[in-house]
Amino acid sequence: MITEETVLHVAKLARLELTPEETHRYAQELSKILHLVDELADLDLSSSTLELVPEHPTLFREDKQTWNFDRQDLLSNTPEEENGFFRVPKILDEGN
Amino acid sequence: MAGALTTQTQYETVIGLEVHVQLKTQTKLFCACSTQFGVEQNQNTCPICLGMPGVLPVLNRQAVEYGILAGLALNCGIALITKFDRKQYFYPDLPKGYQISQYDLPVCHDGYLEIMGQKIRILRAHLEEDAGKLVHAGAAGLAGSTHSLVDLNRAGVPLLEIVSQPDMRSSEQARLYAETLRNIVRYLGVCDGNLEEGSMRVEANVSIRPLGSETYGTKTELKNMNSFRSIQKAIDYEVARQTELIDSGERVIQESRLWNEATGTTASMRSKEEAHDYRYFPDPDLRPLEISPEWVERIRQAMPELPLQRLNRLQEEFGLSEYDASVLVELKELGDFFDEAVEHTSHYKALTNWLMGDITAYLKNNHKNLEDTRLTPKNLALMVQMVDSNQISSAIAKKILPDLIETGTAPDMLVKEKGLIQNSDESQIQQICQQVIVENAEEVAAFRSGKEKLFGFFVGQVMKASRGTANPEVVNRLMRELLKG
Repeated sequence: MITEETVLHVAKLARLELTPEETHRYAQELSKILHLVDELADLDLSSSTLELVPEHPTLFREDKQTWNFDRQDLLSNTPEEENGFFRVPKILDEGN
Repeated sequence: MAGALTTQTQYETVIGLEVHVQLKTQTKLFCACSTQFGVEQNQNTCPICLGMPGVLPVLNRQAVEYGILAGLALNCGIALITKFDRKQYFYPDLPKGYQISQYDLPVCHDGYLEIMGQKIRILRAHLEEDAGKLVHAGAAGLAGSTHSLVDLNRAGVPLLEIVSQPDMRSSEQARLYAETLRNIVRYLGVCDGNLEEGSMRVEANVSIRPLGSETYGTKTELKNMNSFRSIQKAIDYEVARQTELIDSGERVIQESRLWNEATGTTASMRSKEEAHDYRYFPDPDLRPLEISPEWVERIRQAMPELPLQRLNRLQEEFGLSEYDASVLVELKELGDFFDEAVEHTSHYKALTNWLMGDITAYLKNNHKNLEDTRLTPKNLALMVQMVDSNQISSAIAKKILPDLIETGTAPDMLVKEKGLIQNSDESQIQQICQQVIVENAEEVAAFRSGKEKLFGFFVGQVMKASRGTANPEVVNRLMRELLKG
């Protein structure tokens, strides 16, 4: 069961602004989704182990520099650039 | 007699350290960008470490290997299966909106280090990516800035976070733990261990409790200590602050506090509890990682000598005192240099004295590191040999030392070039002695009437007149004879 309080908490963490109507609706919808997932709990898993076993060998990368991107290209998508930096608005203190 | 009304409560300090060490890989943890320091802002970036949509991280094998190596040196168990998780928070230095870290299955677990005769348990060591760097514009710091500039060169650089249990009981022990850890990662070659440049970062969790109490007090987390000394100072300050709070009936608030080196105080960062809701979950872009016992064993076999092993070896093999050995161990370059020099001389104590004394002093005065000079272990060993065989006096050795350090010329060449070969010719030395006696009649009279301390003065005059080349032993003997009159 997802309460409206939980919705507001998660929304705040995700920096989302919700109207009271949206908060109410999402609480109901998310509860339904969780309820659906809960049905998995009814499966009989007594015969299977839940250990984490990778099915495939891990894919590694060797420690070699294999590329060099053009900085200007990479910066071209940013709304604001300054002297090779990404420019972002004033950062508020955590907790503000 | 009436007793005092207040009894002073005795407190015990409880400290745990979280240490981030930057692993010395060529490339980042999940992409093939260079980790090179000091390049232009955002030069070492790519779509992966910038967090562009649709990209996939691929794990750097070397970073895992360094993590395992460090874990083994810290007496940790190595996980057979480990995985990566997303730690989610918003900050402009974190382009993806989450940091790839390890939550419940870290690569290393349950180790320890012995500090001041006590086992300090290590809870875990896990791999994670570093964040970027922010430059706050329009003001000295975040406060008052008009906007910020983001440099993501550091974003994605591999870190190993080593978390201790709250087992330390004094600021000195905490500093020693951090220094020991720094030495270990440097010996392993997995990290520079430089606090000032940030390749090693130490955070301290500090609390106090009444002596004998089993439960922990409320802790604060100290950050921003840029030297080992400031780790100790910050903890001392924080313990005093917490003691004062509790003694005056107030309570300690659980929070992060920034150490200010200039004022010697800590100040609250005023962060809210809610900011610590990271909602970890396994990163679906990275498969769980299986670490075979064979791989761990191969890494264990290739482990270089650790500081503690070198400390014991220097004492056992070369008969150095524990103090001398510890100085050579503390600075890895000095110890490496010693190990090479002993190939060329067996005067271990003299070698150690030169390294710890004149050479260290010279480097300090000239703001240099040993590796920046042209001094070779062989040349130093040769000079030690020349002193021992009386070819030169130690005064002359001191005289040629700067050239030995700066030019890399062999000591026998330097001595020849400068005409400083030791003179043991008795008739020549006697002549100089007699001259000194004639020129200093007053001192001679004073000496003969009992002022024996003046003897050193006469020897000094002879050495000066011979430009340091006279054999001091001969000078001593002849001078004593002549002064008898």
